[in-house]
Amino acid sequence: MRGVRALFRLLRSEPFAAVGAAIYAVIALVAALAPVLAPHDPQEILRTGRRVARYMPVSPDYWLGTTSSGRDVLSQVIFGTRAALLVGLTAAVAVVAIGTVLGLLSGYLGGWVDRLVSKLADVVLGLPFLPSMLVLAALTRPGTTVIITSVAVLLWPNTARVIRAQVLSLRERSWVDAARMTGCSPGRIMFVHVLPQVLPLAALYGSVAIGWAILAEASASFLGFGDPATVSWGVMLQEAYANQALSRGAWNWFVPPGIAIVLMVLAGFLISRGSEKLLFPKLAEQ
Amino acid sequence: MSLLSVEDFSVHYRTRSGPVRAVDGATLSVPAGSITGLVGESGCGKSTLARAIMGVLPEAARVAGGRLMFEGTDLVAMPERARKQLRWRRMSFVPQTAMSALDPVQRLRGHFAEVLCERGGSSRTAAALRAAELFDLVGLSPERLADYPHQFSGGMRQRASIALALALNPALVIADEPVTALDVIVQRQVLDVLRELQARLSLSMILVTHDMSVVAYTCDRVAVMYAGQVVEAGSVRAVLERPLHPYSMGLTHAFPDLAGSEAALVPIEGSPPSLLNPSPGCRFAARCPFAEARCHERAPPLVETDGHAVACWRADEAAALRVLAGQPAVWAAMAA
Amino acid sequence: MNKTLRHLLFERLRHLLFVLWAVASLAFLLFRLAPGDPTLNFITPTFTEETRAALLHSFGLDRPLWQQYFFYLANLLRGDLGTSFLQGRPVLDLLLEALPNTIVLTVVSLGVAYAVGIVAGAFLAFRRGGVVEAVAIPAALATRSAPEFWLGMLLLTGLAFQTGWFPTGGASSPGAPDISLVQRLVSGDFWWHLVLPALTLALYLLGLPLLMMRATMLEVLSDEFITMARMKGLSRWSIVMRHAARNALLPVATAFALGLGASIGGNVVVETVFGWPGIGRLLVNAVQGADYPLAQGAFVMIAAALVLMNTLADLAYAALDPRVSVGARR
Repeated sequence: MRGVRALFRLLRSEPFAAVGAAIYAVIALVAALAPVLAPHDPQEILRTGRRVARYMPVSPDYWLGTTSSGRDVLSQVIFGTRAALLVGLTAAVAVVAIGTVLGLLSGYLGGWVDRLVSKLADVVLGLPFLPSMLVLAALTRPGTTVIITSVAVLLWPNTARVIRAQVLSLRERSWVDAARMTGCSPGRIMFVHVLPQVLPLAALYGSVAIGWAILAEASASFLGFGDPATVSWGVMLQEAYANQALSRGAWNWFVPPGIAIVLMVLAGFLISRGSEKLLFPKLAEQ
Repeated sequence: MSLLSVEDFSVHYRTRSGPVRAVDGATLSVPAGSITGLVGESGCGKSTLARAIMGVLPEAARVAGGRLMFEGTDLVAMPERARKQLRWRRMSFVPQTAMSALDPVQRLRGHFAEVLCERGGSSRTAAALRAAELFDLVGLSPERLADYPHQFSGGMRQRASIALALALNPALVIADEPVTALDVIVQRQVLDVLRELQARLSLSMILVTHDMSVVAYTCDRVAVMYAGQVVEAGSVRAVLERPLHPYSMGLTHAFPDLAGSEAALVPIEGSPPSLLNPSPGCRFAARCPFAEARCHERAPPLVETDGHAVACWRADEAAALRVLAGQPAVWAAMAA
Repeated sequence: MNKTLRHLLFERLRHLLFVLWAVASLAFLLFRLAPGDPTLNFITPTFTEETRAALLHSFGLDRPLWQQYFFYLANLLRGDLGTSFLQGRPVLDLLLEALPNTIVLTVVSLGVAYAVGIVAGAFLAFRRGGVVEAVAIPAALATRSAPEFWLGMLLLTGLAFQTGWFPTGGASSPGAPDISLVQRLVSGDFWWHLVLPALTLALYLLGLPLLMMRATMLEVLSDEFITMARMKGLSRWSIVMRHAARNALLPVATAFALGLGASIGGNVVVETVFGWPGIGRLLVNAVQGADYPLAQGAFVMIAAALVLMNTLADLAYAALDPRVSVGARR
């Protein structure tokens, strides 16, 4: 209960975090109510009379016009929230989970575990993100799964490093010592005692990871390594580009999905910025 | 003739709950050629007063009244541009922790060059010579001018700060807790440097500290501050041996002196009052073992006799009160 | 160079070599274990099992894996990255042709982004509060949140397709002769083509130095030595530029070096949008065309650049910060 009240106090005092949270709330709402909100089925090829309604401009019938294959842009944007949330949340959870566990293990256990994880992190950090994801996608099968996996496998080191640092400082606290002395196993200490303390920090990274995941999906889709069967903002942009939307000046097609991406990634940044004060009051005093 | 005369001076901080009266009608005078201590516990306003004299306060602070007569002119009424001219040239500052006060990416000689050339109009060669001279003055080897601040020990950094403060031959040096962050032995070394400088250069200094023993060791005059006001001021001898204000009486018994005598330490119970809405009476009344009814109703004025000033209704009974103040039980009773 | 720095240099080099080796090996494994048959690209009507075997042999693909690995490493060290399946030319040559384009794009974009970002960030640190800050910070965050290729699409449509002010892609106009790097650098045509992709990247990269510079300046400006500078009566300019900025620039300079490394890989999408003939685009085309040697070579080169720049950034920071480079001496 205390946490919830603190949350509301934070939102009131931190306009940035409040805006970020609001954006997420709206996106979640839209995703849940997509079938109700969208005027058409996003995959449906619309017609005016007998002709396919291609490249229709903004009009009362089609609020954001249509694509080159006659599909409603607005509906696609609305349904795109689902893919975004799916990819974003799954990837964020994966990254944070891997990063936190590894950070916890290497920070608490030290020794060869720490060395191994650190070396692993160094190698992963030496891999350029986009090229690696491309290669993975090309070598397995393009689609959402490989995107989420790439994000999880390539972006965990930063989270792990920070969690490790926090664990190192927590390890020396008296209550950890007390737990050790009462004979708690290291596993229990790590996951029952230390983990809850590092979760806020992990959550912070999670909110930024959502953004990274969505950008990764967009880039992968744009390069042709996404899942063309799904309705996602990245796929929309790729279709627009490939179908001469640029030379035709079809702003209504490629601007809205871009803005949607910006908003969602921005929300992640805003929340993490705002949450710093809640989670790390000492830092904020400076 | 007073070098600096603080007259009924006030500084208020803007806060969400209202103005905090960090300095509220303080009065004291600093004669030329003396080291005047400004002593009091944390939050009594001594640092704020020191910085206000320099004219460099945080954004939330503003001067709320009074005068600062320095070399005949009122600093408060002076426009900022003129005030800036005075800085470092007529009055300079030695901070508490030189580590954060010295630019970490600049060598010491650069610090000196900056002040001497940009503010003192020296050529670079003249500045280098003067810097070496100054280092010598405070007992540091001139070779160390080529080093960065982090390469100095704490005591040496403070000495370097002192040297820097003397660069332009100011009339007044204000030192804000210059030895608080040092260990006892190094404290003594730095204070010895200050005493020597005063002897050699007739240095005028305001030494802000919370430590009575530092005052006893270094200063010739002292002003005791409490809750934003000066409650007693006079020669160190007079104030320490024959304090007139109960707070000063308590202070002199609360600190071990540097020579390490055996007298028992007596803490003053309680904590300072809120500066947000101070009571109309004497600020110290709540913690004073000798407080009477009138002490809680009206604040006593600062009255000076023979160069010894005090703000207490019972100042004429001081001799008797002093005897009582020497008994730990009297102070312990205030803890209730 | 003093002992601390020497030690650090040795450490970093050892680390660099390890990571390079690990990444190169990883690349080898990934591409070797890839599904798909590279010889499919060469199917002709007379394609027989013998032809296929001969092809595999010429590519060295019929040997056991560990042997291939050793040949791979040996070749790598000699600078032989194999031959492109599709183009039939040595991979290294293709890479070296494309590399300068990427480098120019990266350096120019990053340079512009940092120059503008640093100045804007310092300015924002100075002017706290007010409308400017309330608008500038979200705007900076927004540019960082936008997909770079989308920014590119916006610029392409607005400044090229619809207005014709700038070319719509490539690094040279159609029909222009093939020229060397030096010639390119002084060619107006080249720079004209560079504007949009560089602008796109610069816009995207701007956010980081701006926000970072602002943050570090704010931290530094609240430091005690700034108060001391005011006490010394130093001019505002002196305080901000000489003390605050120099202290605040350290982390930003490090970020710049790190950004160089990261950008070389991240340019992939921008190069694709604008058809800019750099390594990124080469990688994408190679992957799409299953041209494994080329893809592998491009990947390794990009990764090597990243790791190299990271190491240099580390060393540069250590050398620049006197607290690290000079160490403590009593």
